[in-house]
Amino acid sequence: MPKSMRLKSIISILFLISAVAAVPSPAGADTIFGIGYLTRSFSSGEEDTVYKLKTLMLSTGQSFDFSSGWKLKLEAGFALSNFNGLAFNGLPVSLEYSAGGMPGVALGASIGKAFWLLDEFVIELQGRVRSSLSLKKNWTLEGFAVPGNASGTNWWAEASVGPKISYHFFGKFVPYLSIAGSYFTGAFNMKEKLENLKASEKKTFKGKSFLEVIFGSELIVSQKLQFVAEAGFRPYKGGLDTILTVATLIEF
Amino acid sequence: MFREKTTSTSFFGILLLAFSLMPGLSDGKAADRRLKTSQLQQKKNEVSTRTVRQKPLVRRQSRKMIKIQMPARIQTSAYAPDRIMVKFKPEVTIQSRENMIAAYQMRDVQEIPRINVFRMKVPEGMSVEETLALLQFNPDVDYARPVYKTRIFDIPNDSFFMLYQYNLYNRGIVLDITPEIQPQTTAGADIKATPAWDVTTGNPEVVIAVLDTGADMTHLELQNKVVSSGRDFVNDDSDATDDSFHGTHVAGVAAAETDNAEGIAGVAWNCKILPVKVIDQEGTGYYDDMIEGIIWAVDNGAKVLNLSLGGDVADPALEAACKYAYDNGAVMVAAAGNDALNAVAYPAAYDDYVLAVAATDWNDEVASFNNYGPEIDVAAPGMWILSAAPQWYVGEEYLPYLFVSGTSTACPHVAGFAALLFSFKSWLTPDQVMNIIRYTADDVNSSSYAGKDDYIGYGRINMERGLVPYKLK
Repeated sequence: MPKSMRLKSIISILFLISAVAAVPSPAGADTIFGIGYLTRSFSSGEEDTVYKLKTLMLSTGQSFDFSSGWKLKLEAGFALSNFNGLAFNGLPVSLEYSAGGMPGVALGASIGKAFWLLDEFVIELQGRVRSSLSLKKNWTLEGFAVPGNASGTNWWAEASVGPKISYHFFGKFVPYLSIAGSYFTGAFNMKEKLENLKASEKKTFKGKSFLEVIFGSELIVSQKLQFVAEAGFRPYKGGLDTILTVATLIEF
Repeated sequence: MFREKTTSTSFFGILLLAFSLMPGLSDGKAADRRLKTSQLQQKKNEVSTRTVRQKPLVRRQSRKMIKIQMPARIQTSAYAPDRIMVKFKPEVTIQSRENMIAAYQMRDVQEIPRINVFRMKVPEGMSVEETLALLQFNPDVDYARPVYKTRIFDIPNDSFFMLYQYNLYNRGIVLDITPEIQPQTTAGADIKATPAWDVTTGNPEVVIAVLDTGADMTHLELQNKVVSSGRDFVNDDSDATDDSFHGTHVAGVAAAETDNAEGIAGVAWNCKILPVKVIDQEGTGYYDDMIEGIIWAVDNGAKVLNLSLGGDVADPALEAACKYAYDNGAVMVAAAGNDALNAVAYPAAYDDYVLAVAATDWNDEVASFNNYGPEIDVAAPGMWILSAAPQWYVGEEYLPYLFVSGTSTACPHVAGFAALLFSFKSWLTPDQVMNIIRYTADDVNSSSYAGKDDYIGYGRINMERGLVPYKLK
């Protein structure tokens, strides 16, 4: 991840933490275990081609409930980011990523606060950032007349902000709908070396969709155990991305 | 269908000379060899196009016999932006089906007969993906699919392509050249042109200068391919019309009119040809014309220079001209020579600026006539290569095509490859293009000489590896 982006990610997360730190200490904290799958369509530079990132994320973290009403979640874990089909035609010998999930570190944070209560409905404002920083991966280029190798790293980050409407009529089962503006960006650096041919290409990309709609539900099993499941989509002109998340919140 | 031409032509003398220069190709070799040596001593700066073999001609009547049906395939990455295909389950009644279609606000619904599949336009304001996402949860729908695009393979429909152009796409056929010459070819012993054409068939702005005997600019394969009438340095005028066959043949290999349902396919379908005549009717020329021709071609926009010719003597002015081309962003490709000597011809031997090309055959065997040495960069098919020839040269009873052998015919394969690389990646430097061509070659003689060697350099060129993205797994 470039320094500037790394800095932005850290600042974003620190901003969330400091926003919460400004309010009194948390009234409660849960440990989160989550698994998520998301697809994100993107384009790079002037290219017409629409690529699709598929990511599987396993994370753990803490959820903090503050007496002021703010809720903060901080997560870290493991991500497999699949950029299959991403072509690097800016290299002398074109390369196409077909290696499936590329392992990396996942970071995430969200913050929200209920602002309006109407009968059984609760409306809260929620912001979420999520990012992944891959480990460097090396490949041997086979079949050429000279020895060759390639190496690549990638990062991506997404942020969303919007209202979340939850319905509390059923007691322990709380369905909700979240509609948010969403932004996705990232980059993939690829280097290639074939004897005297040495080159690198950095593909920066932006998401095709800027809106996400998530249907979710919380199942409160007990004071100490809670399940959350979310399914959503991000439409864009000519396609649809999906989000699936399952998480468990446990109070130890 | 084919017959060896027995009548002599104005080029016959040159052919005798060419044959004589090849060890083992004629009984009169020794005498003619001496003749050639003395000539070289007298005319130090002479260059020539030494064709090893040429003759079997395609008879005109054969034109009617060839019909090639092109296969089609599905390109899975793209589909119609507004249409889908839906198959309903057999138990769904017509009324239910129509109600459902109306409820979804599908448009222009048509049944594809026999298989109970309906094609329809998606509702206004909805994408194909959204519509399919909705339909997949409908229990009455067996399946709903996008309408994928189809296209023909980028295999040209030129009538001789599948039958004779083993050099571009070798299916392992019997090459029916004459009743006496019918070699069995080995599948895959080719330059892998067809997958490379899926990436690019060339950009008309990329010009290949053919420094040779000129080009028949009225030939079906070239009339729409030449950017201008070129330059004739032999006769000092601006009409590089071929008064032989050699330049026409070479130009045809590099960039013949392709996918026009007739004749042959060129390596770089859409690239253009700039004819530069530096060799006379007899197949010989002089360094000064060649040097001037190189500089003129570069100054007139050529990105690739093909020189299926050469001389035996190094010359600083020639080297300076090659450097000029290189420094100005052009790739020079030159034939190694057909003398079977341990001495690569000039300008091919200028290793820093020029790609030196040897010849292989339909089995990826190294041609016996190649000159060899450390300057050899790559090889390409150069045995019985079918390409264009002037009608007047072959005679009215034959189609205007010739089978020719020699490093001369191998060379334009590499020039076409370079032109395709520039077409696909205009930002490449000459050095990068040269290295891509070298490093992506197939080491077809690795059992005898593993790695780069003096006979075919890095190997026989492989356009697929040079143009199709390498998959990182």
